[in-house]
Amino acid sequence: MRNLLSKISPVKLLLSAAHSLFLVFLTFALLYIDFPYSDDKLVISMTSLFEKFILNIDKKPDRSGFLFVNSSYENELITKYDEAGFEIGNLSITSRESLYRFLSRVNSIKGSYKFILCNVQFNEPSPYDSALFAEMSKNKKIIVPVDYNAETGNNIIPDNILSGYALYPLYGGEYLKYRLMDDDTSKSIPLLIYEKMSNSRMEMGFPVNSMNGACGFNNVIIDYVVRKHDLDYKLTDMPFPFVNLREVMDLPDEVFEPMIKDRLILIGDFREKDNYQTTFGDMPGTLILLNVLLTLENGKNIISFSFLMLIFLFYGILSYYIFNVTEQEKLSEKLSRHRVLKFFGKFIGFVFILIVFSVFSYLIYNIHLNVFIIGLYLNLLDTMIIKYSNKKTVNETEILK
Amino acid sequence: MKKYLLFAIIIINFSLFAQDTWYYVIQVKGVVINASTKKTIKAGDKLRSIDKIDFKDANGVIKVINPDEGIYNLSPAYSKKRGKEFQYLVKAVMSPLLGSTRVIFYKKSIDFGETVADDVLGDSALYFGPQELEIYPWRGQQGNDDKYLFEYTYKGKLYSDSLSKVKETLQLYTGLENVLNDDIKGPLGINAQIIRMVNNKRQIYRSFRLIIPEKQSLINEINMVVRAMRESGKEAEEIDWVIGETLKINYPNCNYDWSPFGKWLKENTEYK
Repeated sequence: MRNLLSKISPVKLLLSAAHSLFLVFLTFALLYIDFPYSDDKLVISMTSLFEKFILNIDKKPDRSGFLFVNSSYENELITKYDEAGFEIGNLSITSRESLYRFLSRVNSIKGSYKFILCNVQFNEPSPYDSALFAEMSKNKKIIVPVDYNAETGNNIIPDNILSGYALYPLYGGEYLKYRLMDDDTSKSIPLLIYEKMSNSRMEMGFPVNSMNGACGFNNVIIDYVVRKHDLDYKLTDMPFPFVNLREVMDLPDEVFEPMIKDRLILIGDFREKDNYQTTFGDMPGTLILLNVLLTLENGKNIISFSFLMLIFLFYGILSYYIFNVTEQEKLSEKLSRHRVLKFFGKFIGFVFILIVFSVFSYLIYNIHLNVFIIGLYLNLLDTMIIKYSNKKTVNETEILK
Repeated sequence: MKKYLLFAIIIINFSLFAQDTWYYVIQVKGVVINASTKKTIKAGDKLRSIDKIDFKDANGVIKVINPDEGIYNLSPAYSKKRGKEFQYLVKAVMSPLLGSTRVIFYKKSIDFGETVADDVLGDSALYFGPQELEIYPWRGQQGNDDKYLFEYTYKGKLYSDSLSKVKETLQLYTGLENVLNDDIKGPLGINAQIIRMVNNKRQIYRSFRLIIPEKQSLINEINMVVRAMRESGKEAEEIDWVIGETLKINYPNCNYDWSPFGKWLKENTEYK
C-alpha cells in the first residue's frame, strides 16, 4: 500500500483534480445544450428500458391523485379565415363551451382540486372564449399552454391566466429530455405547476439552473412512470382514472366531487391527434407533461452533492490515468503500426467506461453523460499526452548525448 | 335465453375488494340485472364491488365509473385477462426498430431494380403474378446473346419457358398462370430454376422454391386486417406494413416482390 502511494505523483494528482473539475463543467455544459446527440438517445433509451424491464423499477404514483379528462371527442366547428380575413371554411377545435361548463362546475366546488392542466390549444378564437377565460381567471390553479415562440405564436390567452409552453419543436428525435425553461420569463407548464405546488422557483443559469438553493438541470431526462398503457382499463389491472369530457360533466355531485377532490386534473387529447414518439411508443402530449412534472416532484433534475462527489472522483481517476503516462504506453505508442486502429480501440474503451458510469448515474441520479463527446475528448487528450511524453523523452535523450 | 352471470365488478380489481368501493352506472345497453338485489340495473345506480351482474343478453353492456379507476365498459365479453405491460413495452420499443425494418422492406420491394436477385427470390419466393428480376453478370461478363429459361416441376412434369429479357431485367412467371389454371386450394411449393444458356451450355442462375399462397385464407386475413386498421383510423403506410407483416407470419422466410403483390392485393382484397 505504502509502495503504491509512493508511486502517486502529487503534481499529477493536483492536475487530475483540476482537470476533473473542468470535466464536470464540460459535462454540465454539454447537458445544458439541448441537442439530440445520438449516443445520448441510445444510452438513455436502453437504460430506461433496462430499468423498467429488467430491474422492474417502475413505481407508479398514487392514482387517486389524478383525473385524466380526454377532450378528443368534445369538439366544435369555428369559422376559419385566411390571413387577409376572408372566410375559407371551418376548423374543428376543442369545444370551449364544454370546457367552460366543466371548469365552472369544478370551480363551484371551491378549493377542492390540486391543480388543473388544461392542455388545449388556444390559437383560434371561439364565441365562448370570454366566458371560459372569465371562469379560468377565477382560480389561480389552472394553467393553459401558449406557443413556445411567443413572437410568432398566435396566442389569445389573457395575461391574468397562468400559462406556459407545453411541447416545443424538436430538432429530430423524440422527447427523451425536456427543456424546463427557455429563459426567466418563458417557462414550461410542468415547471410552473411544480413551482406553484411546491412554492419554489427555478432561475436560469449556466451550465445549471438554481432552484431554492439547489442546482438543477434545465434539460431533464423524462422518467415515464405513467404511460399510455396505464390509462386503458383493457390493458392494465390498475388503470389511472380516465374519463371523457362529456361523460364526466353530467355526473351527479356525489360522484363528481370525489373525482376531482385533491387531484391533479389533466385535460387534453389522449386518444387522437396529440401524440409524440417516445422510447415507450406513442405518448399523448399531456402525459409527457405529467411525467416531466413527476420527474421534478421526485427531485430527479436536482444535482445532489453525492453525485458531484461521485463524478468528480470518477473523472479524477480517469484524468490521473491519462496524465500518468507509463513507459509501457510510450513504448507501445512508438512501436504501434496501426495507430488509427489503436486510436479507435482506445476510444471505444473510454466510451465503454463512460457508458458504465452513465448507466449507473442514471439509475441512481437520473443523469446521463454525453459519452461520445467526452469519450472523444479524453481519447484525444490521452493520445496527445503520450505523444508529448515521447517527444520530451527523445529531446532529453538528445541533450544527454 | 342464455344467461351470462358474471362477477364483473369483483374482477375489475382485487385491490379494491371492499364493500365501500362503488361503481356509478353511467349508461346501460340491454337488460342487465343486479343479481344481489334482483333489480334491473339502470343509469344512475351505484354498484358495490361485491355485487354480481347478470347479463340477460349477449350484447348487454354497462358503463360504470369509479373515482380511482375511471370508466369501464362491462359486458359478457369483459375479461380480466390483460396484455402484460412488458409485452406492450417490448412492442413499443420494437416499433422504431420495426420501422427501420419497414424502410428496408419497402426499399427491397419498391426499388426492385437496385436489389440483387438473391434478395428477391431467396430460397423460397412467393408467387403473386408476373414480376421482374434484375440479373447480374455471373461467372464472367454477361453476354448480350445469353438466353434464360425458367424451369419448374408441377405435378411431376417438367416445364420450361424461355424468359424475355429487357436489358438486364428478366420477365418472370409470365406463362405460369396458364399452367396453374387449376383451383389450388392450399399453399403449393414448386421447385424452380432459372437457367442461363451460354453457347448452348446450361448454367443454373438461380435455384429456389416457388410458393403459391393459399389464396382465400390470405384474402380473408388481409381483409380483416385492412378493415380493423381503417376503423381505428390508421394511415395507409401502417396498413401496408401490417399487410407485409401478415404475409411474413403466414409465409416465414419467403421472399416476394411488392409490385405483383400490390397488384394482387388490389385485385383480390379490400386493400386500395
